[in-house]
Amino acid sequence: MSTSALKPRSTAADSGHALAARMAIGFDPWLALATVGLGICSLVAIHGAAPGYVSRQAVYLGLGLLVMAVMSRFDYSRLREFKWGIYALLILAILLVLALGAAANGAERAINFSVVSFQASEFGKVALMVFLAAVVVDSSRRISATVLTARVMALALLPALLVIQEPDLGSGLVYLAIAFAILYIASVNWRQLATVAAIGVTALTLALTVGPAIGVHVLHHYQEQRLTGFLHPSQNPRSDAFQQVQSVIAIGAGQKTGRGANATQTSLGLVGESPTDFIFTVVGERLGFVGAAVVLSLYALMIWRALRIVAIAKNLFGALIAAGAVAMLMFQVFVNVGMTLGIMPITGVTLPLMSYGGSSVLATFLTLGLLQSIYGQARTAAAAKGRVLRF
Amino acid sequence: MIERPIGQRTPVPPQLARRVEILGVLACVLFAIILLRLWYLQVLTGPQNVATANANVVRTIAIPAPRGLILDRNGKVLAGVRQAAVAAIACSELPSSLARRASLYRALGVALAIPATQITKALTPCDSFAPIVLRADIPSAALIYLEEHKAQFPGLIEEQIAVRTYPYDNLGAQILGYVSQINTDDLGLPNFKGVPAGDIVGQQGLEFEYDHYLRGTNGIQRVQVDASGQPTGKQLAATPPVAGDDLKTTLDLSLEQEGMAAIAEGMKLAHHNHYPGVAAAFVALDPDNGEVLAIGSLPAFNPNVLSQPFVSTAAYDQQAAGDSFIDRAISSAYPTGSTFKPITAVAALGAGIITPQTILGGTPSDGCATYSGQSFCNSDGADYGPNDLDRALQISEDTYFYQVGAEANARGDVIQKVAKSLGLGAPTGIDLPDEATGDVPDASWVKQQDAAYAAAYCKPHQHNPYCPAGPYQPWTIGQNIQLATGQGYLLATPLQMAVAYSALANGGKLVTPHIALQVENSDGDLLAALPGPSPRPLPKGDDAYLQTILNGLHLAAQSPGGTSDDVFGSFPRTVYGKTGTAQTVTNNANDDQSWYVAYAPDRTRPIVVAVTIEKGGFGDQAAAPAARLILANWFGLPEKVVEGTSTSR
Repeated sequence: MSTSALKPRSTAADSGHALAARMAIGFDPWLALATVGLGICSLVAIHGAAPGYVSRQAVYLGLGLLVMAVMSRFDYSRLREFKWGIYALLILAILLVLALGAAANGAERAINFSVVSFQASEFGKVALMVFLAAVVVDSSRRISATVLTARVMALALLPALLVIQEPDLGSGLVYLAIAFAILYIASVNWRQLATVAAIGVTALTLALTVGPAIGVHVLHHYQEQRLTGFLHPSQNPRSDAFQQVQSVIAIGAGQKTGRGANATQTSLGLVGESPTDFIFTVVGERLGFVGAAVVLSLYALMIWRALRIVAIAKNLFGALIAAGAVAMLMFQVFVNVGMTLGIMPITGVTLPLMSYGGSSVLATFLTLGLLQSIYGQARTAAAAKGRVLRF
Repeated sequence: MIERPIGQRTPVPPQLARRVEILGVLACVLFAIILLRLWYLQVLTGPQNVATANANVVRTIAIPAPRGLILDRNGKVLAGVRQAAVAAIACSELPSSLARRASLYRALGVALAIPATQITKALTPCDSFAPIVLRADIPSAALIYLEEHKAQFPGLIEEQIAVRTYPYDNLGAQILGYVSQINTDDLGLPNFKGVPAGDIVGQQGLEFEYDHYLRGTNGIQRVQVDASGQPTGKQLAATPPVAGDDLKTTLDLSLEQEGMAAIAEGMKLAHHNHYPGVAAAFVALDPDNGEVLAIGSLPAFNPNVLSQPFVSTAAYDQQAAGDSFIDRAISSAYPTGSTFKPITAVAALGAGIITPQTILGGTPSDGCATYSGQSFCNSDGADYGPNDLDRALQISEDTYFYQVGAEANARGDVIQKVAKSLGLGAPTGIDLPDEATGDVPDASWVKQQDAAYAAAYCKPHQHNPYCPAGPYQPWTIGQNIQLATGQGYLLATPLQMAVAYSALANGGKLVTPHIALQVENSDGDLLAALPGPSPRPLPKGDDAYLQTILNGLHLAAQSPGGTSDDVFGSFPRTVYGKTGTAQTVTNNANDDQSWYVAYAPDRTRPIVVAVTIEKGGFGDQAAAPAARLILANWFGLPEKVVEGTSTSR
């Protein structure tokens, strides 16, 4: 592409302009607005459900902002070189969690340090989107599309199955969604995508119906129950299905403007895990349709900006990472919110930024930092080519 | 930071752009689904969800309404309300381990002096949000002990609650009744319409009959609980209870007290005369309007014991001893003996069988007369010779009335018709539950009884000596002769006799006895008058006949030779009275029912009194002295026990 005469690159003004451009356009302000807005919503909601968690969540959010800021200044393209290292680290971390879980004779999702626990599967989402994007970029010219598709899905399936065994079904499904989205944006043809989707649906059906029938449990029993539980609600207060029913009642009881301090479902324990997986229920009950609409608008803004970043990334690597990020955000938002509304199964995925928890918050900020970095790089590149990015 | 688009836009590869657009459309669709679902839940079905959410965490506890008072005709309290210290258990605080609960119940049993088994029963299952009361009126020593060892009794609360109180213990117990938790079987009764299970209701007498006035309206306390059912301590709006209304009755406290003392005295006299004297009852009516001035039955329970929030089986059994729940004044029908003779006289005069001057009852020998080969004798075989009606009533000459009975039988149910018109053989309609009907036997009556017997006990191919003839057998002249003297199958309650005598006293009106006078609020303002039904005039007879009968009753009570003259001869007011000594089905003299029915005229305070003592012997010896005590109290005269000695029936 030729340089434009509209913006002559005068030497004196150039360095000042470049500096200004770097200062001003390094950040997507809309994405940042959505990020900060959701962070505030998170604190408000957690304050209502479990005030004791607010200060820790504030620390996580603050830390997350810092991580995002640093990440946005980092040239994501350099991560391509470390793809195998990243993948190895991802697999090792998950294996370590599994080993510790086995040692503790129970389910483990996190590596516990004395003060904080580190949930490897959450950070795995970021690692996987970077890794798979790098794999696609590095191999696209040498191998056939079919082989690439198979390879990407296989590389995603390994960590996915491992985290499902942790057991963290939600993250496993997010991994697969990330892989699928990367293939999708990588322009893999529709037939292959349809094949992958069909295989996925068949596998899930087998795991949920045929497997248990013949005594093979790919999923933990409770995972099977959770996935199918929303189809037949239970009255047992300890069951997940009961929680989901109570969540639906809670959100409905919020009506248009919410019950505020009179909320009972989320504050008296009828909906358990209200600061984490059911944080949207808290918003729905306490702040009503208005509050829920505000939160959803912020997510819509975030997803729109992420999609935009996919489109404007300066290279394929950036677009694919952004695609993984979009997949992660969309999957988590719709599955989590759908679960609280009783129209999606319980899979244990968190609501990005809103749900209480350091690993989830930091992993999301890491992703958002990558998006900002991709955006910033795109702007810089465009500016260098004399183009101006429009929002 | 937003810059104007002053330059060329970055070109996006068209295929990538399309795929991003598709993803964007997908996101829009998913957002739309979620917003629609939110709209459906929060706006369209929001109110239902609010109701469900509230039902999840709000438990309601009834706050018992203080019961209305029961007052006598002068406003004196017969049944009141007091605040009592009770020990109760909050179920949510109990230890979860069954073994620890069992040991707690044992310790509580010792501390509160209740059997641990009963505590276990009362607290199994313990899932109520309202504390379950174990005992009221905890002794102060126990209170101190519980206070000092609070930690050993998790869940124990001491609180003040309103408890029904009867200041005069067993005074008129069956008439006032008592209160306790509603039986599940009673939930459908019209008296208890709308009463929820677990509520305190009236169980007998006036407490039962007028429960809807006395009960009041329970308040509602709302308690917020969390998902595990534990109260959160949050205060929710409460509805205060509305106290029940007061019931003013026709009873006179002083007369009621004297009546109870008098029948106790009558039982004592029976014992003194070596009769069992197991039970007694009395009624005092205003003969003009049917107002019940006093009414009572012994043995009686103490309603204070039964109205406790928690009654042990032992305490209940103790109170129930001697069939004390039966109100013998209205629920027990007895043979009436000679107190029936004035009714026979009314019938005979009215039917023209006799005139006041007719001389009857002469006996060939031994004071006995023979009808259809059966011998009918005066008491102790006394031979009074032939007499007119007044004299026959004065000395209670059986042979006179045997002859009347025999002659009446030839004309059908002459006596029965009059007896029924005077209120026998049917409930009087008093405003109390469980009134007995009594029996006025005649030819069709025995037929019915035998048919009922056959239906109940005579199955085909079954050997039973009473089948097929029946135990009552066809009606005979002998049965009418027995009826004429208040014997045989005739049964009447003391109240029915008082009503029949009231008709003699008031010149021929049948009154419907009633106890409730009016409903008042706690300030004494009239809310509803409860007048009894108006007296019904009976067919007009000859006033001279009525005067003859009253004269005979006066001679019996207050003239030398009268059957109760030794009791009432010295009474300073005019009394018309008749003794009765009824043989019962056992035909054992020890089981004779002692009766006295009297009328004392007064311009403003006339009174009819009926007294009966079960297995009390001669009417003059047990019932008449009791009746004298009651009349003396009513007219403010010295209450003196004057024992009778007459052995006339």
